[in-house]
Amino acid sequence: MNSTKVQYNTRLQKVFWIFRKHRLGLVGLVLTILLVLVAIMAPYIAPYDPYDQDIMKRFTPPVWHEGGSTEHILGTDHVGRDLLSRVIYGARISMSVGIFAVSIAASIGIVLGLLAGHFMGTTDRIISYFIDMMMAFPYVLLAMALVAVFGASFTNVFIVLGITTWPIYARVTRTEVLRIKEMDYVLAARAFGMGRIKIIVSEIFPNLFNSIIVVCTVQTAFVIISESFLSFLGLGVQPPIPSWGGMLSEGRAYMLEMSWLATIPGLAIFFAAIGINLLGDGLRDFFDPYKRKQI
Amino acid sequence: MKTYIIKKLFIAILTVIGVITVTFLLLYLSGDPVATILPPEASAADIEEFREKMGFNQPIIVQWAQFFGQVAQFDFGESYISKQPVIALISDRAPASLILTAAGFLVSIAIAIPLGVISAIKRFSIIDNIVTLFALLGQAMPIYWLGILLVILFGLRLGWLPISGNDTPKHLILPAITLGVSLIPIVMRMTRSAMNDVLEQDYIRTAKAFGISKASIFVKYGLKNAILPVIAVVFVQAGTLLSGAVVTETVFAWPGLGRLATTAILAGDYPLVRALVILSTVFVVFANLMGDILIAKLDARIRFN
Repeated sequence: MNSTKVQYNTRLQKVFWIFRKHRLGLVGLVLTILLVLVAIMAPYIAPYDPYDQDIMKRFTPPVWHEGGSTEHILGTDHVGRDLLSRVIYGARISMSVGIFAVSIAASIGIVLGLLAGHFMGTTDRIISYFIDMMMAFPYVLLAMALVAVFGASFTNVFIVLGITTWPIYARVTRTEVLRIKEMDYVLAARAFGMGRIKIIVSEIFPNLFNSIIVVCTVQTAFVIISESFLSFLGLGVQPPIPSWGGMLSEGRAYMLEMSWLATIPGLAIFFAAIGINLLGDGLRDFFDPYKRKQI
Repeated sequence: MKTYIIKKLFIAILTVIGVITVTFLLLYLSGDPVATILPPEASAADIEEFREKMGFNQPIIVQWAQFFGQVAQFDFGESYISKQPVIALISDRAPASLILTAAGFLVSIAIAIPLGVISAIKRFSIIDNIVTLFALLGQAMPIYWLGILLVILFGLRLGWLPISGNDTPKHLILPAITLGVSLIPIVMRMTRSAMNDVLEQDYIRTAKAFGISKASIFVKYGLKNAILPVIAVVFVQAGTLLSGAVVTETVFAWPGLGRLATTAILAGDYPLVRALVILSTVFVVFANLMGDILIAKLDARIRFN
């Protein structure tokens, strides 16, 4: 990067400069920002109340279909609710599941990974054992079974997704700590007599940030897809709350005649997941000094 | 090598013990297992009777030991719903799952390995970029939605293929494609990077210098050496394959273990759920073990350590 003659005034400008060169990463960034904006602004941009039923107007096709109107751009569902408004509000559900589940999983995973990597020995062996064990469970089965035991609800879904996905954060953190620990600046801090906890907090933790951010991003897409599948099965967010997976499951009953009811919510999940995945991929290259030179 | 395998085997057995324990505790997570199993309208007398009958009145550690003893003898009890032995239900459904998994696996290999190889040979070319983009899109695709799209297109619009059940071989096509596609991104990425590693080796350069044809170099010297790491990774990914099978079977009403698991979970049939979780995890643990051993066999650094 130092060969280019660009002056960065702020860190943010630098981020934008690099992302401009990494086209797919940029697409991901834009899609993700869009998703977040839609989720935040839902009440202002949704044309209708997502819960408002109008049984006379049920199964209105989208505007590009025969019989569609601009009144309901994406049409209406089986009880006459505006599909566009439900898709827009659905972004709120997906984003909150993404944020909460990832925060829970990342907090558990980072703490355990730090402990395992820093103290090594028995602590490491016990934590690594739990990581391996959790990773052995077929993820979908475990999440489904846990939600069934706890009861299907919005809160339980993100708790279950949080407590089942922490091992990946723990594994990445542990590997990174083992690498960073051998760095000269950590050895120097130790030589200066810095305490163990102080070293973790002020030397190791800040350097973990890059890898963790990448894992968090990719995992956000993963939990969004997982939540949608659980809701699709009826084990997730309960109707009438507009979750994309739940809408897909309702629309599936009418897919012979009105396939848009199943394709549109699926597209929303797909675009959200693509956006976040591309952003994650872009960030991975961005944080990798070797790749960054190529960009 | 021997110590490595013994160590891995020991960890695998410990993992299975842990998995059985976690699965056992599943029912106790919400507090009272009887309350979880019985419907809320059950009378107090019913609840007491059920508690006696199922042994839930004993100390938890005794229950755990009993459960463990039963699992060790492959006795998973009776299904709450159909009252049949769980093991019989599972062995009934296992063949359908095996067929689907094998077919899905073949689909993914047939598509992913050639694409991965092309991608590696033409590194950083347009083809490579398209293939990589394809892998990225595949990763973002919810499998169950892909299944629904295939149903809408080939089953309903075109009417070419049946959309649920497993009566004829034709029924296998859509579920196999759905499950296969879910594995393509990972297999393709692995093939690409394994192939890249191999193509940078000296013997490839030597082969080129000897004027051996390109096709022959890529297949005989390249792919032959790259394929084993790919297979090893597929073993390590056994859990992903299983999760994909659960999703696919649910969408296509495929009468295998995944669908059995979904219906059991939705109906609260805990003996069946426990058995399926334990058996599938044991399968994953041992598939992973095989993958680890295969990787160790290929990697001298692990083999001789």
